[in-house]
Amino acid sequence: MNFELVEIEELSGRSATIYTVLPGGAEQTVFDMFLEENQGKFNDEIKFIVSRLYDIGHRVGAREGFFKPNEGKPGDGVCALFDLPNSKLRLYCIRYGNVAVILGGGGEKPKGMRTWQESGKLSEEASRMIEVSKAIMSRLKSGEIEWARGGMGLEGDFNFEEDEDY
Amino acid sequence: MEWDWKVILILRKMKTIDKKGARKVSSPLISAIMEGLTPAEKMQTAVKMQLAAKLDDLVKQRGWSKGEFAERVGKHPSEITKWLSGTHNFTTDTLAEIAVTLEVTMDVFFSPERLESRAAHVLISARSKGPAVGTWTLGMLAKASGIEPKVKHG
Repeated sequence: MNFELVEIEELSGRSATIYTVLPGGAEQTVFDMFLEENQGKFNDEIKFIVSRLYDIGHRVGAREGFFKPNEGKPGDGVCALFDLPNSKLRLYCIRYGNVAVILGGGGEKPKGMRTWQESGKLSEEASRMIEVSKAIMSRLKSGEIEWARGGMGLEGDFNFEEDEDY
Repeated sequence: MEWDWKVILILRKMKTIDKKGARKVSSPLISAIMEGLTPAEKMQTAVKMQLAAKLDDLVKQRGWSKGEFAERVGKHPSEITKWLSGTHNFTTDTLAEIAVTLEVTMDVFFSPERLESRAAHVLISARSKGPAVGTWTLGMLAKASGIEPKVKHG
């Protein structure tokens, strides 16, 4: 998978660093695509999501309770942001402790749908984050990416190439 | 021989210095959405998140699991999951029930956080290489760092 991990300036703060994925050759990040795709139909949900992410970055950190766990494979940290009780919008992320979150994409998850495998769009977005998690884990293991500034942020090479072996 | 080691150390240091954080990107879309939020909407979200964070801290400080807290407050664990999600609209009645269970006064829920996640993380990192996927409880943090969890964020 060809992508770059980038930090979102507006959302990152003293409590957590908020990253997202910029696919190779794309001009828009995956999170911006998610906002654009869902802004019209789910305006209130989008406002709430952005507002929550701002608070996570600047005030309260990426606490475990704010995310629905186990959306990916065991141990990969892929989760979904907890949404409003009646919301049908799902946003996939990868959470690293309370201090870093990688935002992915997502989409509509109608009531009654139990797993993301039942939706083509959600499968695509969840699978992307599973791959991103695998790629980052691999670089953390090899030392190409490491926790820096006292564990408050990641440093290293954030450009991932298509033919890399994770 | 000693000189060789000095060279290796300098080269290692240079490699560390070369590493940089991820490229920062600015999103006009996010800015526009944030500008569209009313002051009341911003405060409503902030209060929900802050209450969840405060509750999370208070429960962890007591060394209680989510299930144990649910039992003490007389609720189903799924209700506690909602409370900790940062999306819940707490009533004063619910906050009073929680305050009694935790043996705190109501104003505790609205006081500034005593231990912010960043500060907690700095302490964790001082003891370990980096954060694993998942979280530490305040009890674990206090044990590992050898200090009481009363650090104020600078």
